[in-house]
Amino acid sequence: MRTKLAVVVVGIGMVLAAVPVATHHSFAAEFDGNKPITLRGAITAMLWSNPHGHLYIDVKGRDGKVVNWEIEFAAPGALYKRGWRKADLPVGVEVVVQGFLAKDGTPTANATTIKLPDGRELFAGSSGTGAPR
Amino acid sequence: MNGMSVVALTAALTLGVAVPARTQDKPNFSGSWVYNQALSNPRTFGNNPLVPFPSELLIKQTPVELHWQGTTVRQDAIAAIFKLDGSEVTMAGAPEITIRGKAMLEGDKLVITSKRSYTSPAGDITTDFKEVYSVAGDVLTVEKTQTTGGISSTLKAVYNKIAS
Repeated sequence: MRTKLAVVVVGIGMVLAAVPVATHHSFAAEFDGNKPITLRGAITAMLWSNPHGHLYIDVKGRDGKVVNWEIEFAAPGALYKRGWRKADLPVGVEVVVQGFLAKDGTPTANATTIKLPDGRELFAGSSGTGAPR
Repeated sequence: MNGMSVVALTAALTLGVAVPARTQDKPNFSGSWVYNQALSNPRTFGNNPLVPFPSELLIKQTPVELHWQGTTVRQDAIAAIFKLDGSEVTMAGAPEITIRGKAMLEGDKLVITSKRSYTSPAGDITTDFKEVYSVAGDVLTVEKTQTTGGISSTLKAVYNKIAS
């Protein structure tokens, strides 16, 4: 009985451990360092999630069409250490995001910085250690 | 020797000295250069650089050409053979990106300007780069300005020459 219980517990643990592994990734796996981008748009949502935070903004293209972009940030803990607070990113606020385009052609980017309406510029990098990767 | 001769001789000597001196003064950027993180500005490398710099530069300079290749870890290398007269060439390397650039010597500096064009869900994007190279012995300093979406950022990176 104990052996069966141990197997079940270990199995559940392995499944739970696998979930964050599947969502965490290197920058180079998903984003193109040769394609910088600057986006201006209004915040529609901010997810303070691990292992990456995600900001959603509506960006109006040159054709006038509005596209909702997903912007990947660092983990909430790292953002908090850099001075980020939840109140900094209310829905509807216009921000300017600098980052790099996703490789898969979707409206997704990895953020380097975000400029807030009050002029503050916050570093958003998800793994900006400066170390070669 | 009259005064006129002295002036003529002095002028001739000055010219004679000046010609080789100018040739010697022409900087040479040839070499294999590796990025020095300790001496470079923060946020010039790794993930999420504000201004991306190659981790290695391979440069071969002739009197009329500059063979340039920038290699970045886990990214496509970009390369070009520039004419040093400043004429524009197409740079190779990154798929789905059109890169046009030109290089020229300006005094003791090498200036490379390039324009990248690519598509995105927000429409076509153009990013301009201006790189100013200066060399002192085995140290190469690159000041790079990136302009995209109307925002410009300038940062400096330092490279060390590695033995070939």
